[in-house]
Amino acid sequence: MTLQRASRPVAHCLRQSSSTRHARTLATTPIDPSPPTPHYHHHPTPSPAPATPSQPARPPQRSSSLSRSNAPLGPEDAFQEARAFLQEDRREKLEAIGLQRVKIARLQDRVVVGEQNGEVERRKQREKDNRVRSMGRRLEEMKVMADINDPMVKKRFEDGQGDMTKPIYRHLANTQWHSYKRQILLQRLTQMNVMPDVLPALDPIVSTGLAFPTTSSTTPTRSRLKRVQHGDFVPSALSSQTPTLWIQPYNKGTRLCTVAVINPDVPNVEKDGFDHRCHFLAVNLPISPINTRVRLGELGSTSESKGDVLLPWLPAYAQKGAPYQRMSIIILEQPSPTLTPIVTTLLGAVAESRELDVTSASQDPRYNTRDGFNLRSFVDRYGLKAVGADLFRTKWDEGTAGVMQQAGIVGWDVEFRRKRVEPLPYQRKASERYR
Amino acid sequence: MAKDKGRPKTDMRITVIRYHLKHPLTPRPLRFSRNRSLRHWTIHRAWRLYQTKLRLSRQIELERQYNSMAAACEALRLIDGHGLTAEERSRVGEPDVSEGDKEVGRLYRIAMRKDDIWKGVPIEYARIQTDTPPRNGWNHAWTK
Repeated sequence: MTLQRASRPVAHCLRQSSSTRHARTLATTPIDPSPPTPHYHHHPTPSPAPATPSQPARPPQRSSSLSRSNAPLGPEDAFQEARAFLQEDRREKLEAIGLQRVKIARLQDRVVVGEQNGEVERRKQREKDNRVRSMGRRLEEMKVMADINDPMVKKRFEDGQGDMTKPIYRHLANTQWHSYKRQILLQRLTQMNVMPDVLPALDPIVSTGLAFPTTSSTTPTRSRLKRVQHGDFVPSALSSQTPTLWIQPYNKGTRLCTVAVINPDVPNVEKDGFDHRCHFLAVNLPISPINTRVRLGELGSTSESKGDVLLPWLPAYAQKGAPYQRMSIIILEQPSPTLTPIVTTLLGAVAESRELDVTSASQDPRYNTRDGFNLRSFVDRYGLKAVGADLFRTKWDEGTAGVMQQAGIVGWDVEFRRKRVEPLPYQRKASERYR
Repeated sequence: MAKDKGRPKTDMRITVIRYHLKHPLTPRPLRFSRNRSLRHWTIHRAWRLYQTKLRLSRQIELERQYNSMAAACEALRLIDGHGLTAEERSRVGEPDVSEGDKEVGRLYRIAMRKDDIWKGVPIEYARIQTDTPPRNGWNHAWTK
């Protein structure tokens, strides 16, 4: 009896879905009454009317108006009612979105009148821009609110099939990243003191992922990628290869990014402190919500990858005796030229980025040397904005010497030793009380 | 007590949680399949949305009633003994200087008095009209 009762919802679902297509247990669009196509069925379907005498008779398909039948309501009916209610709500929200679009268009058509280049006109223009910007933000919110109650959207997103060109999937991915992975990243960055050392402040907006290719001796061409978590120690053999970086932004549009890999822990014995060194610098990388993978090794070389490498990849190394060294990967967004079309920026899309002049940057003596590379100066010079970061650490292991030799770095056999600190003269006190 | 001290003390919270989870009268935890849990989520979202809409509509209705009352009080404040505002009086042509101070808004001021309105009990103690009777009946022991 309990087994029959437990199987009742399943049987009811099957019976309901038998007259519709098999895959549509969670249909959010109206189920059309056409006969089901043969290739959806993998097993013989049960007939709509209950044929087995052991199962009690139940009305096969309940319509949306519940007042007709007196049989007890189940969760399936609640689901259909909920679906109908949410569809009605979505229709209202779509109307509101259309209305908002009309309002924005009407506002943008209004011309600001004032004295020519006067203070009043500038203020009015600024106010108008602010209003368009707020209305654009509201429009994006409304687009997300329209789809956020859809179970199919949730299912698609959880299965990883979300289309990142749609704002709802971007919103869900952003929320997911914020809930855990971004907090981990910020914790690693703060604990490793990347923030005051490399850049004064960093608020990650784009999510990052890093992987190094492992070259197996048998197949040198096809190498597997080994993922690295934020703040991991990476063996020197792995970090000698040029990695792959995934940069996932959550606002629409393509923007040009700069990637800089800075090591702020290069020991300097003379000053008894540490220097910065740049291990990689590339500019003008086009990044968008669907185009996220950046193979740092193949930038600029092949025709399909668009990006300019100013300083190619230098393997991460830490000499023997030196403490572990942090390798911070900073992703910077290039600014838009001053005369952008306001429509794209004010309505939430990212503005067109300006290309960085590669020739002038490569000739600038401050930015074409690795040692003593000052990222803050680079950021200020080109007006860049830090949008994302990643971090890994290196320490000395058995392969470091080999890696340094292969890369032709001077000082592969240098070993650091702690300076012996002379203890302060200890004055023995007179009585036993001070022992 | 002496030989108890050697063992590490288990946290009482763990004991309490285990007691409540394993009690025979506690209902067993539900385990939903993927589709079943998505349907549950949909029903929950729809119910919360419905409740929010209901609450907002009630709030808007209350705001509308309050604004209507405030507008009525404001209109009363500007009216004198003859039922004319200052602008209407000047249009009709009556002299308004002598009447201006005391007559205008007299009824409004009377309405706004909150002392000794209801045989010694202020109006705020009155019961608002409801659709259904109260859960607790008449309180015979009520004092001011």
